[in-house]
Amino acid sequence: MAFATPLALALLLLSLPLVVMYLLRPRPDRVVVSSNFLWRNIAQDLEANAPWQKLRRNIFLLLQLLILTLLVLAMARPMWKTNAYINGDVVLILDTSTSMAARDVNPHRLQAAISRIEALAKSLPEGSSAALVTAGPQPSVVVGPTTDTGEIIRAARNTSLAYGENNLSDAFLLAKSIASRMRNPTVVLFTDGAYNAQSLPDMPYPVRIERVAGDGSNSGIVAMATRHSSSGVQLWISIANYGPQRTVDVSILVDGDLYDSRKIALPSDRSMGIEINDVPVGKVIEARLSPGDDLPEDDRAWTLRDPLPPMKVLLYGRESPFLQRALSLYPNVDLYKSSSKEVPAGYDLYVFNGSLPDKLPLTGNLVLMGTPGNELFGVAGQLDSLQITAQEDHPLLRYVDLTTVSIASARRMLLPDWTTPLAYSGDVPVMAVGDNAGRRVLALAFPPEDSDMPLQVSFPILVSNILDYMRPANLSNLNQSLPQGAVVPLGQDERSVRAPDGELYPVSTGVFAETYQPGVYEVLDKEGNVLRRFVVNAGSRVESNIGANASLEPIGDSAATSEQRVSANTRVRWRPLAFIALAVLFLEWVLYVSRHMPRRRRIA
Amino acid sequence: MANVSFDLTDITSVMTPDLVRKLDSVSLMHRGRYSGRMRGERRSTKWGQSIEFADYRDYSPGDDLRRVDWNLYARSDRLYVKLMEEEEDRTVRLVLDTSNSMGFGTPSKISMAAGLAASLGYVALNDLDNLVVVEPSTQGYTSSRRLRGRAGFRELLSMLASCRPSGKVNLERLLTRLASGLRRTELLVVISDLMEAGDVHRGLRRLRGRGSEVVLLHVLSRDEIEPQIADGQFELIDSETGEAISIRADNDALERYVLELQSWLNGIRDTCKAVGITYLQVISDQDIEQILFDDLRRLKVLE
Repeated sequence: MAFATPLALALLLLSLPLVVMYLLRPRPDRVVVSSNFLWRNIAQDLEANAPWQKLRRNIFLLLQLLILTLLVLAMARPMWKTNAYINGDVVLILDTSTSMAARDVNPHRLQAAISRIEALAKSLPEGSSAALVTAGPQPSVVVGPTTDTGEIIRAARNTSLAYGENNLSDAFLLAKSIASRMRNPTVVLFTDGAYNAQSLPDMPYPVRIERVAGDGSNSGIVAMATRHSSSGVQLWISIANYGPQRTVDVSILVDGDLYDSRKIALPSDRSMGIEINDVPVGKVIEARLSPGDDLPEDDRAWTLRDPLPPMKVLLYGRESPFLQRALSLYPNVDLYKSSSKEVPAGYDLYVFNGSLPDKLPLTGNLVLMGTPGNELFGVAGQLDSLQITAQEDHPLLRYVDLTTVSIASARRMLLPDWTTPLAYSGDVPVMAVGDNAGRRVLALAFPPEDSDMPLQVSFPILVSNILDYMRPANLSNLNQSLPQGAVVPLGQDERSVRAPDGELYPVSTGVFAETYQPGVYEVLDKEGNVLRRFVVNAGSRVESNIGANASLEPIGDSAATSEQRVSANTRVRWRPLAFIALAVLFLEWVLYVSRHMPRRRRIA
Repeated sequence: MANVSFDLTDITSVMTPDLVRKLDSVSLMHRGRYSGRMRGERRSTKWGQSIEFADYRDYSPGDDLRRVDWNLYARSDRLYVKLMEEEEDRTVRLVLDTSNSMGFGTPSKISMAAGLAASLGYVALNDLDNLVVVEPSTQGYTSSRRLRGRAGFRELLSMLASCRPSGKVNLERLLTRLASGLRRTELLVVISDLMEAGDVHRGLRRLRGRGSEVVLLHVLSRDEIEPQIADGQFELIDSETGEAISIRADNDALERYVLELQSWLNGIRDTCKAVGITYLQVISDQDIEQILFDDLRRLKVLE
């Protein structure tokens, strides 16, 4: 322990005059009595005519010395070294994503994080301000910079799980903005570690990570989809196991009735897929896993598929039996072919393979595969010896592995800013997608037949993804599975949404964003008729992998986990001392009053 | 320890008709023989003319032949003279301490003392005793004129109403002088708080040594019996001498005071018992009727 103002300790010298005052004989009260001859005999010890008296054991002197000591110590502002690493202000980021619901710590990770925040807030240096940001799917500033740590603690206690994947990028932007107005700020992230450090924005301030996770294991439904095949609607479920090998029961329910049940053995840290054919169309399909685990939120998933309206697709350019075959197999697709210099209008999707007409059509979505330069993007030479890396979490590349594809040659595309590269060969994009002038454009640097991709298992999946993704909005099927926190656009007649728990949300803004509950949502018109349905699922590869946080990725150069605290902090505590001094003062007053109340002494 | 000013203008209020009626039914004790000045109702130390037979003695020339018991002469052939009891009046002397210390207490000790003096004086006057009130003075003491009969009661009240607690008293000297001035045996009633530095014990012994019957009514206030004092430093001023004593009052001091008081009271009681003085401790806030008709009757001071 040290003192912030040690000179104040000199005030302890005031105890000397205090003791001297007790050595001085006080001026006595004069009391006239009938006779003092009875007192005379006993006054030998009691009589005191000298100005000094013997220092007796006096409770009031002891109490006053104690009060003086406490006050002087409070004025000296004692400091204790603490484990806290905050020397200035702090921005607290609280991960509220689905994985924070894991029960591998008691009662769950979010509560453990809140407890950590409380402890940190209580140990902040005097005068430090703090802010609290939640990092759910939609990050928000819960408490702006304040020196009232109680407000931070109360806000943290009131924080609930947001469900869905965390959006640490936006949370960091918010924290960065707040920290820019702070003094010597530190950003502290309370998370279980499910984040991608590379995707986070630069943070010019020290970032520290408080890891809140146990050794939990989890298996969950990370993907569930249906697709139309020649044999009907096919249900595909991906179950990931993030833990030791285990066996689970998978139950399939259609509109609440058991439709299928399977027992599968999940290898350690692997995922497995299940395919079920001929599931009914237009009904809610639910998958359940049992027994439970540390994260029950992802043990249930839903999907449904209504009959799709047919999509008109025009295949233009070089003959490609593989591509033609894959497109023709897709249900609800009316496939047309053309190779004329001019392409007719009126198609929902144009697929250009290796060549282009004189002029691109003005309407309809476009897929350009190995085409020459055009009015949308240019081409500068050829690429050889391609080794592809892909962004697999994009819907176009879901369940598609491009890294094993061998490509003979590809065009070096000069892509405009509105495109998003999805796959690279080195630094050169070979696949990109973007929206331009109200329509969606997909550019592939090579025609499929210039590679072995049509021979790969993932080719029909890629074609299926392309048809789903490039389907115009008016033909889209929104009742496919959505992630938590997704924003759902609503039509003019769609006035309200009924959540899985039955709560009705009126919608007036044209979009519905309260998609945090997993389950089936119903979109209603103003009369309350169900217009359509969509489902929201909790499982994702990021959030279900609750064991992924075992080793945290550092954020920035100054990052340190809670186990890597490098500096000790000091904390000044003077208020408790002043409070105790006040309490002792009150005690002294009570004693004084009780002792100076006149008392009678009876003769036995 | 409050000093309550004393005012005896309402002494007559003490003597309520009810109390007077009760006092009419009692009389002061008369255990021995008293020598008076004139014929009265108390047995005298002398042979007298009353009808109460006392003794015989041999006839001597000059004796009144009417006193010769002729029946006895017939039986014994010798002349005897019958001696009869002499009945004389008795003097009751009320010694009232009016020193400054008697003005303390609630009610004050002097008010209780005056009430007792008025009551006992009334009984004495009612018994046709001579009543003398003795008060301390700078010279020693002053005695009132002898009062006799109920007519003297008004003067007694007037006398009591005019006395004020003042000055200091050397009770030993007062009692010694009073004892030396006694020519006859009397009934002495001393009403005092005995709060003085002199040797009260010697004064009491002297007083009793003259053969008179002595009753000591020791009046104390409640504050003196059960001291009520706060903790702290005090300078105690003696109301009579002005002497100051500085003390530090605390639990220990109060305990020691109580022990000292008990020792002092026991000493006085022992002295009174040893010399045959009737002693009664009176507290100033006691009921006067209880003192008169319970305590003094129990001690046979009133009969």
